[in-house]
Amino acid sequence: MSATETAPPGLRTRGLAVAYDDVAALDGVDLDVAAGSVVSVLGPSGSGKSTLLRVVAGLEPSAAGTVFWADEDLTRVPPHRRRFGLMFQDHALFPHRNVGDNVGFGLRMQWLPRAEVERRAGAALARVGLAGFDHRRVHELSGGEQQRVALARAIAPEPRLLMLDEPLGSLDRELRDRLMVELRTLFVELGLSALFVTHDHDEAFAVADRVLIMRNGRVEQDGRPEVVWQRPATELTARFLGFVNTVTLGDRRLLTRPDGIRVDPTGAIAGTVVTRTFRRDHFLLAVEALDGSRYEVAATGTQIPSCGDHVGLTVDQSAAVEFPPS
Amino acid sequence: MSRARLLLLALVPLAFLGIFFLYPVGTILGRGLWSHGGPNFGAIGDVVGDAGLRRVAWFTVWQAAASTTLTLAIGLPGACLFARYDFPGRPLLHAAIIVPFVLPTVVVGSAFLALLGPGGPLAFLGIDGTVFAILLAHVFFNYAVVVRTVGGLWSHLDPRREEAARMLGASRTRVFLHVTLPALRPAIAAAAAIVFLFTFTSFGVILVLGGPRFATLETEIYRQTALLLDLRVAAALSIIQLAAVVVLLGIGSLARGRHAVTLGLRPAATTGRRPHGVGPTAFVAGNLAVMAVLLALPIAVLVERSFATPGGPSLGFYRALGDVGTGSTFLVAPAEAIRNSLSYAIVATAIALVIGGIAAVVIVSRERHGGRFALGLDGLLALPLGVSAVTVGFGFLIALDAPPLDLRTSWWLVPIAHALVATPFVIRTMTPVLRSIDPRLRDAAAVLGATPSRVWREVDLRIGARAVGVAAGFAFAISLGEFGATAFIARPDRPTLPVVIYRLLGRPGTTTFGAAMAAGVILMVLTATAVLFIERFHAPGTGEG
Amino acid sequence: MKRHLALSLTIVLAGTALVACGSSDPGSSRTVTLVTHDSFAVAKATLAEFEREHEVEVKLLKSGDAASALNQVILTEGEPLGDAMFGVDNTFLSRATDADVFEPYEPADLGLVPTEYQLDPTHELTPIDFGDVCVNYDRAALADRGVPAPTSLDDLTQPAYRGMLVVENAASSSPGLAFLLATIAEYGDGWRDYWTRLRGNGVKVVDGWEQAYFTDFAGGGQGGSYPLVVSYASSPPAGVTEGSPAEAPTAAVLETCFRQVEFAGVLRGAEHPKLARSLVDWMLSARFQAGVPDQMYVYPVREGVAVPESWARYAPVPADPFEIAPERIARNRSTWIDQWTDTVLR
Repeated sequence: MSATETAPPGLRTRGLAVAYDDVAALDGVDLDVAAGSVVSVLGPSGSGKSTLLRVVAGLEPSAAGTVFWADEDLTRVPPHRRRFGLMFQDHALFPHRNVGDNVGFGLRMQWLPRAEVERRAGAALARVGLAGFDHRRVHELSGGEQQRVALARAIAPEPRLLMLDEPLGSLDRELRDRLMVELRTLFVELGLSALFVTHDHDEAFAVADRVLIMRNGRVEQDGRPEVVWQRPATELTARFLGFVNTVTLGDRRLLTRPDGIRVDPTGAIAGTVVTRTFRRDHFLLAVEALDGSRYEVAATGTQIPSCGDHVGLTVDQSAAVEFPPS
Repeated sequence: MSRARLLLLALVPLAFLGIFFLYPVGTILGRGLWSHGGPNFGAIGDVVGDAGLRRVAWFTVWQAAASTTLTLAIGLPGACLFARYDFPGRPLLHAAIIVPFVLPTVVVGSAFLALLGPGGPLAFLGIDGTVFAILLAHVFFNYAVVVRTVGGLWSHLDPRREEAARMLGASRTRVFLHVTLPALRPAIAAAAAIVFLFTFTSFGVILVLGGPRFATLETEIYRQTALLLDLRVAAALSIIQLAAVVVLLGIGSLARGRHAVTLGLRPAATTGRRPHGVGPTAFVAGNLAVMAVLLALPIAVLVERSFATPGGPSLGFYRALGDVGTGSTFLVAPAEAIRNSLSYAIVATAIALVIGGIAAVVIVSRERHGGRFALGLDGLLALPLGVSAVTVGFGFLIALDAPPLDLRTSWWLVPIAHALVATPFVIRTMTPVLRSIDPRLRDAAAVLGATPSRVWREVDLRIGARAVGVAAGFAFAISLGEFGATAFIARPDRPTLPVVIYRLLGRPGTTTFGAAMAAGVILMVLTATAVLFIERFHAPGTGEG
Repeated sequence: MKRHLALSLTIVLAGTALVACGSSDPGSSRTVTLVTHDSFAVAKATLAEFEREHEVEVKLLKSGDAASALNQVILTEGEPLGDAMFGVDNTFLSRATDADVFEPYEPADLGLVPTEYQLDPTHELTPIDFGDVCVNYDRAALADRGVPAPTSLDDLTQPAYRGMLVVENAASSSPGLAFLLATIAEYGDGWRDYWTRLRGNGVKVVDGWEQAYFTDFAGGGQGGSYPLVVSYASSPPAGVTEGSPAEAPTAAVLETCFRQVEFAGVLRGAEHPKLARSLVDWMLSARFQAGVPDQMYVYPVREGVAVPESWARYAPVPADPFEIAPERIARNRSTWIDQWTDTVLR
């Protein structure tokens, strides 16, 4: 980039690399988060996604690569001067401070007047639905409340980039679904730039404008959620995203999700139902085909086969992705 | 914090230690080992070859090991009591148990003799004049070290871990052995190392209670230096003592483990609960009984004697103490002695907190990077506990004799000497708590815009506040009660309470003895009050105030 | 946090104030320093008189016991800690003069000191006071056991006095060493046999005088049970709590005494040698000498100085105490102590 050109606001990393004991945790990661957009990073445990957050936050030095915000080189800038927010896994609330002091912490670090700190901390708490919680002790809160306090603490100083490390990881499903919506609303309302790390698909795809898939310290795929969801770029990504069935049609190899295969008496694949599991809005069937291969099938409707039933299966090719034969 | 900045910070305690300990001690050892224009280590050979001195060395080691084991055995339940249970009078008792720690050995010796000797209430034990009397007195003096060092960490451990283990089918004993004990290991190792050092270099207790048949390396060094001025043999003995201390500190560091442990600490206030049921009640009662016999009884004897005037119980000795300051330079009025004691203690505590606090931060930060440097600093700053007071005092005299450090007759030498002794306590009280702080709290603070020094202030210092309180209490108490190191420093005559006690005891007469006991009681009350105040001031929970 | 800060500030300020008034030198232009041991004492009025007369402030620099204080003076040879020193006794006299740390000085009043106390022919050290270490007995305790007071060192090895005597460790205690020297003066090379007999007769050895006198001695007033103790000829008056009875509850056996003489001298290299000499003069002055019994429990060396009435009555000076030449003590001190330890303690 030439010196005269002005980069658009947003986070930009190039070639980030980190290794622990010769094992690469990050291996040449390029990441862009445009101002006002929400990016989630999705990957299995150990894929390097948390390390990526820590490097962007400045908590972890990188062996190589750069971190920029617009034109500002942050690579060697310590965390407290990056004006990024980070919401930790398990929240990392200060146990020795009450809720209000936790939320006001970042504002105090800016040496704001006390009244201002209290006002803005109160506002941040109200924003996450905890108005009036200022004087509560941290260890008296429920898991969901702690999560909201952590969020309020992270947004109170109005960081230019908010990072969230598995923010909903420890919460129960119902709460998580609700908070996911709230998060998305909050991001939009505040026009926040956010970088969101998770291993949970629903979270990643529900909240983000863009999704990155990481594996072994590398970015495997980077795109809009619906594109990544429907067209994983590699077989490993596809498997990770739930394309569990491999169907071989002639010399074509198709990968599909359970809902990409229908129970169809006329289907080309014949097999026997081995297990049947109720999944709220559908049944998940495991079907063993005559050639010994197994398929996971989402069955809806009123006529759900039982265990031991002989069934036929049809592959919905529009919902499948094709990879070269292995 | 960056490596360079940390190392720079580490220079503060290193410089302090170098100027006020290594340099003076090195100088006096050098003078002893320098003959005919070159170093001569023959003295060490002579000492090692002397069967009598070998016996002394062996006795020194084993009585210290036995004392440490016994103190741990009796002190650990006490640490648990204060960490896990809440009962009426708990804060007061917690402050009061430090009282024995500061009492002059002569005073304690006389109390123990009154208890254990012929006609005493514990005479039936038959341990007067035996090594058991020494061990018992060492427990008396060091009980607070174990209770406070270990209890400080214990009170912050999350009890849910223990509950989890119970649910997994572990018995109380196994929970203690496999869950609690490993988590406490750093604090136990720290306490054990300090108790060992203290008893290893024990002086007054050995002489008063053991009688002159028992000698330790410390008493020999005192004899060779202060009495015989045989610096050659003294230096040889000191080097042997130092070598033993270094080996010991090395073992202690290894036992403590090199890797930082995160313990999931919680505010202390939430972990204490009232005892319910037969077991816990019996546990609390048992501990209180131990304290009553071991700690309260000797103290009660002192108090009783301070009131036992010939015409029946009265305040006569306290009044006599008020009169002693008038007329002679020998003694000062209690108020002045208290003021002198407090002045030294405040300055010594401030120095020890700054030096020890910085060292603790450096140690814990470097440990996170697995550095050997941390171990070295920790051990180095503990060395003053393992070196005879007379060696340090005489070292000051011949080393700090030229400007800008002509401090030989300065008022400051006394608090500096006290701070040298107190600093290892500060470090050992603070590091376990600092070490166990969840590192993500620091990260969280940094991301929220706190500079490294502010991270330290807002997280480490605030969470470590209780440890700072305990450390300050220790340092203050050490300084208030310190006599050994002070005695060998040439100092302007501003008698402290312990000095007043020793001087009174040096003269015959019922009244002077009673007045000495009264001064002892005043010292106890002063210490307990000061420690209580310091801890209250820092205490609320883990620093919510 | 604010409260925290305010409190911290208050404490620091209070501390500074305490330190400031604790260590303030009142800015006087002249200070003369007297190095001494922890037991030195003088009436404040007597000290103030000296300060007024010489327009100088006297700084007392104290350090440990007599041995420790002298050794510090020796270690700082050439760069003394002060101007004069008080507190060298005759058992250390040779060590002090051999180390060449004192300036010769002969006070005008030395003529008023009996020659028996003038043990330093080089006049580096001037005698100031003396005391006698003697076996003391408790009258009531002996009467209870139906035995008379002993009258010699030999008596102490008699079965009648079995298990009655407490002595101090000669290796660490000044009276303990003095008593050992008394036995050496009496028995010469046979002293170790004497101690073997004493040991056989159940002598108790404790570490220091405080313990011997207060804890073990029946006359110490703290419930001890031993009727005999090694203490000072001047100890008995302290046992008289009220009135003036014909005799004190305790008394010294004047045939068992070893004499200790204490000296003062001008330090070589003193900053104020003239004032240092004045200090020595002052310690020999009638006023200082008269205060010596009350202040330090020892007798004045100056002739014609009256001692308190209770001393005249209860603490007579032994006529013929044991003495050993300082050079001989210096030469043999370490050997004797080692031999004593082997004989009595091992």
